[in-house]
Amino acid sequence: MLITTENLVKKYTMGESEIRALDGVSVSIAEGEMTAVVGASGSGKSTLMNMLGCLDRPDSGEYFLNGENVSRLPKDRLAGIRNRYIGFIFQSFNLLPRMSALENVELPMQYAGKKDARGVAERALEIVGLAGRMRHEPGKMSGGERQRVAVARALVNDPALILADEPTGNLDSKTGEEIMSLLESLNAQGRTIVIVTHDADIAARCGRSIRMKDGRVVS
Amino acid sequence: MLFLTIIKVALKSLVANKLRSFLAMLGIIIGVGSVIAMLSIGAGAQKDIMNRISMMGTNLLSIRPMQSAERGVSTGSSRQNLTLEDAEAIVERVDSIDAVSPVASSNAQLKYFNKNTRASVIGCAVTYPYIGNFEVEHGRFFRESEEESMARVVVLGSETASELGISGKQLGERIQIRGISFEVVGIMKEKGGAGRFSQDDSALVPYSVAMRILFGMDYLSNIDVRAVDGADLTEVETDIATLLRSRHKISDPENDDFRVFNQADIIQTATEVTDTFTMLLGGIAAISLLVGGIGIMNIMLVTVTERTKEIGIRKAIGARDRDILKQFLIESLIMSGVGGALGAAAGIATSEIISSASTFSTSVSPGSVALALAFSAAVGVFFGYYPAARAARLDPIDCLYYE
Repeated sequence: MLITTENLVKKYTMGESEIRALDGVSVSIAEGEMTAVVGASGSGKSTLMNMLGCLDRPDSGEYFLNGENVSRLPKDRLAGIRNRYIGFIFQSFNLLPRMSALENVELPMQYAGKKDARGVAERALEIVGLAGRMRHEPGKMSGGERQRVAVARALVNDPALILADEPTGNLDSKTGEEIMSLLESLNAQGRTIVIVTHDADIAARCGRSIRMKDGRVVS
Repeated sequence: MLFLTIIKVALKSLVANKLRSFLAMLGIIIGVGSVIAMLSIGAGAQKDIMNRISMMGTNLLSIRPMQSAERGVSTGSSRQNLTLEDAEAIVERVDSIDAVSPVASSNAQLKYFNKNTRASVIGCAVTYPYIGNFEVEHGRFFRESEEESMARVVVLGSETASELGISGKQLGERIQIRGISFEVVGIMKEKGGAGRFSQDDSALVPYSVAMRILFGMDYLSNIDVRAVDGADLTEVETDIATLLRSRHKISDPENDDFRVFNQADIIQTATEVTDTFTMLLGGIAAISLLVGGIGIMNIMLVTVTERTKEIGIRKAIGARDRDILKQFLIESLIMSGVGGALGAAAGIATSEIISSASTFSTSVSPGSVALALAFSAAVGVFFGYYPAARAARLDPIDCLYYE
């Protein structure tokens, strides 16, 4: 198993009341799977995604990523794990302005201290079909192109897991379809992909769906 | 992350907000610029004094009237207590004296046809150029006979002469000092120096004329003494003091109404004055550097807030807290460093302008530039640390969903 969680609990206090965003979540995801996490807003799927992405730590429960218990690692270790094992794709692309597509894609490798970041970044951009747009800044690109840059950025450190949060949410259906095909082809090459979405069509294209409701996995 | 990349990123974000970065740097620019300019004025004044003193030689003594204080109460008119008789007594009664010149000086307006200038008119004896190592360039100094006959003759300092448009060819012409006509018999050689340490902006007349005709004073401004070479200056000083005390009927040295200055005293006084001056100006400049630092901190706090999303993205893809800290710290360091460099350029330019446009001479020392630059870098790190640490501590999730 690439991902195993046991009884993850995450609580938030809102004023007087306590909200259990995650209320004992146990899931397992095998290497090479393409999994959708679905549920209404407020169901806890975003919190789960943050947890799986090592952006947040659970209040209780365990999270094993690639066999390593990462649920209580210090912040800097988590940053290292995000850098090496996880590639993020966000709904709003989250590229850095004032940097070219190439520089954006190089960034994870720079934090990893890798040499030849440029060559790897160029190849990644070729894979997502942006060979001709490498020097453009995100501001001068279309939504579909920006999301391709984000996919390339997620790929460059050769992560074990790609986490996509509503990757097609800001795109029209045609470019959304292109991004989904891209993700599917990456999965076909053996990448483990987790997509958080509320879109039933996208969930249907994944091999497996994890349905969340009120902080619990319902199916 | 590569250091070079961080610098590139930092430069890019500074250039993206040119006006803002410049305004944030302005405080540092002004601070560093004024530190360098101020220190250059101080150093210039110091250099002047040393030059002048080394030109005059070291066996000079100068006696000046002081306010005497009896039982802590100043007795008023005591600044008029050095007399010609005192000067004569020193010549006659103190050993190892080479030459003495009574000095009675005051500022006065000089006029030559339609040209006017204000100069320090020094009434002195024929021994004066010998005592102070001054040389006559054109014409001659006045003679002892002219001193005795109260001849209206004047020897101009080089600057005074050029202010009045008088050169070696106009010797024998007459100028007006306080409306009294004087014959120009000579022009002194330029000695350099600035401000109160310059003699070039003076006009020398016989002391008898200065006292009785020009200023109507029966007392002296000071008495200049040159001891013979190799004389024990301390002994000469003591002898003069003892003599004047007995002449002025003073029993307690505490109540002295005069003071004997030697070159060391003059150097010390001058150094004290310029040091105080330099410290004061440097202090004001340092405060503006501090204010500049606060300006940088302010802008960095704004920048951090503005770039919250960027911080979140960087953290999501693997930036550690210290990577973020480094990035923002380098940004503020670049801001203060560039500000410091611009300030240094501005300071050097200002000191050039000051020395060419006024009588202050300035001297920019590499040390003061290094000091100002180091200080501004320190300001950048000190005031950049808090915003950078704040950025580093931010939670990645809060940042990612920050709008």
